[in-house]
Amino acid sequence: MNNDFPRQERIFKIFTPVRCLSRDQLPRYLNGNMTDWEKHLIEQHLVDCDLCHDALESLQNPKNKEPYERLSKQLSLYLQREYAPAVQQSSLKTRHTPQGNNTRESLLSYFWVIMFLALGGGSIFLLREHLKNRPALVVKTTDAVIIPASTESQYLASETKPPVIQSQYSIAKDSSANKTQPKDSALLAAKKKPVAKDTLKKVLVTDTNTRIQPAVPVVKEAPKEEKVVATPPPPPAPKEKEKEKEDDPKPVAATQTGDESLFRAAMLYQQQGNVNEAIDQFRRLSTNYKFSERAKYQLALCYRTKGQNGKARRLLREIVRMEGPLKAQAQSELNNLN
Amino acid sequence: MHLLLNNLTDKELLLRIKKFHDREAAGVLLDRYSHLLVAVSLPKLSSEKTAETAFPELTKQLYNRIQTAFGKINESVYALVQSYFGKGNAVPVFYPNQALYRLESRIEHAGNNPIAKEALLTHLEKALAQLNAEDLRLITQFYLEQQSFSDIAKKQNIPRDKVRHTLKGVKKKLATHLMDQVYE
Repeated sequence: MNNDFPRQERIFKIFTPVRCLSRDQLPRYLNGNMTDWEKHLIEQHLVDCDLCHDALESLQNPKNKEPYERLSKQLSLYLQREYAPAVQQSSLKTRHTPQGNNTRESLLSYFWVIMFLALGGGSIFLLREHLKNRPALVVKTTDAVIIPASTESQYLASETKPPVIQSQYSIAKDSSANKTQPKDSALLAAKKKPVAKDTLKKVLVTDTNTRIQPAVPVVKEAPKEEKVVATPPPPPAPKEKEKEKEDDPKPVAATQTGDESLFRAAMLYQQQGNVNEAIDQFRRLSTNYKFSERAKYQLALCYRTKGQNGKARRLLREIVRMEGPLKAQAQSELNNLN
Repeated sequence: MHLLLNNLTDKELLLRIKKFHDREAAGVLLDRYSHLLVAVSLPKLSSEKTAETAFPELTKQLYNRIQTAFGKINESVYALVQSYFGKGNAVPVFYPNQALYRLESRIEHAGNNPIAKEALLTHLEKALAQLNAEDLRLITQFYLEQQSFSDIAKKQNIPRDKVRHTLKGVKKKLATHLMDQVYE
C-alpha cells in the first residue's frame, strides 16, 4: 500500500471525487485484476456511488455476466445509432448553408464582373465616340478663320465690342448705320445669340456654316421668309429666283462643308506641327473621293515630316497613278524623296 | 468529434448539452454510463419491462433529465433506475447532498493554493476531532491507512457493506459539520 502521501493530502482525499467505474474497470474489479492503489481508488468512489456499488453487486452474480456483456454492447450501439444520425443531419444542414452562401457569393461576383465589363465597354465606346466627334468641333472653330472678308470684318467689329454693347440699342444703331442694308437685323440677331449664351466658340461653329455662303442673299431672304408666315408670298423677283437657285444646293454644300472643314482642320494641324492628329484626319479624308487626292498628298507630306519616307513614297506613287491635278507635284516630291 | 467529446469531463459535456442542446454530447454521456445502467437494471428486468423496451425508454428519460440535471450524473442515473423499476410510476425528486458537493468543490478550487489548503485542512482537522472514536477509527483505517473494505470488515468483524455505509455516513457528518463551521 502506498503510504508516502503526507497526512494533509490523505485528509483531502476523503472529499476528492473519483469518476465512476469504466467499462473496462468493472470486470477487472470483480476479478481482482487491479493494483492495490487502483482498488483503493475505486473503493473510495464506491463509498459515495450507489450506482457503481449496485452494478458490482449485480455482476457478482455469474448469471448476469453474459447478459450484461451482450446488452451493454447493444445499448452502446443503440446510443451511437440514436444520437449520431441526428448530429449528422444537423451537420448536413450546416453544410448546406455555406454551400448556398458560396453560390450566392459566386453569382454576385459574376454579376459585378459583368457590370464592370459593361461599364468599361460603355465608357470606352463613349470615349471613342467623343474622340471621333472632337475634330468636327475643332473644324468648325477653324472655319471662323476662313470667313469671307466682308462678313469677317463685320463679325470681328461686333466681336471686339463687349457683350453689354450687344443690346437692342446697339442693334438699332447698327440698323440706323446700315440703312442701305436694313435686313441685316437677321445677321445681328444671329450675332446676338452667342452673347446671350456666353459661348462664343459654339456660336462661331453654328454661324460659320451660314457665313460661308454669300452674305447678301441670306440677309435679304431671312426677313422675307418671316413675312411668308404672316402674309401670302409676293411674286419673287427674277433676282431672287436666281438667288434661290443658288440656295438650292445649300444642303449639298452643308454636307460637303463637313469634309472640307475636316480637311482644313487637318491642314491647320499640319501647320501647327501636330502631325499625328493631321495624319489621322487626312487618313479619314483619303477615302473621300473629293478630297482623296489632296488628303493623300498632305498625308504623304506628313509622313515625310515624320521621317516615314516609305509610306510617303507609296502615297505619292498612288497620287501619280491617279493622274489628278496633283500628279506633277507628287512626281516632283517623289523625285525629291528619291 | 466523437473522440474529442470522449475526452471531456461529465461537467463539460453537461454544459454542452444544456447550452447548445448537443445531441452528440448527450450520446457520449449516456454511453459513458450505459454499462452501469445495464448492470444495475439487469436484476430488475421482468417480462413487463424487458431489455428491448426498458433500455430505450430509460435512455430517453435520462436524456430528458440531463437537460435540466444538476449534481452528479451517476446519482441521476441511479435515481431514474430506482423510479423506473419501482412500484409507482411517479419520478421521485432527487436532492443531492449540498454539503458534500460544496466541500468537494471547495477542495477542487483550492487546487495548489497553499493558503486555501491550509485553511481547509484546519477546518477538516477540527471536524475530524468532533467525530466519535469508532467513526474516527474507520476513517483513519480507510483513508489514512488506505485499507480496503474487506480488510476493515475482517478486522472489525462486520459485513463489507456496513463498512461502506458507515464511511458514507461519516463523510456526510464531516461535510455538514464543515458547512456549519463556514456559516458560523
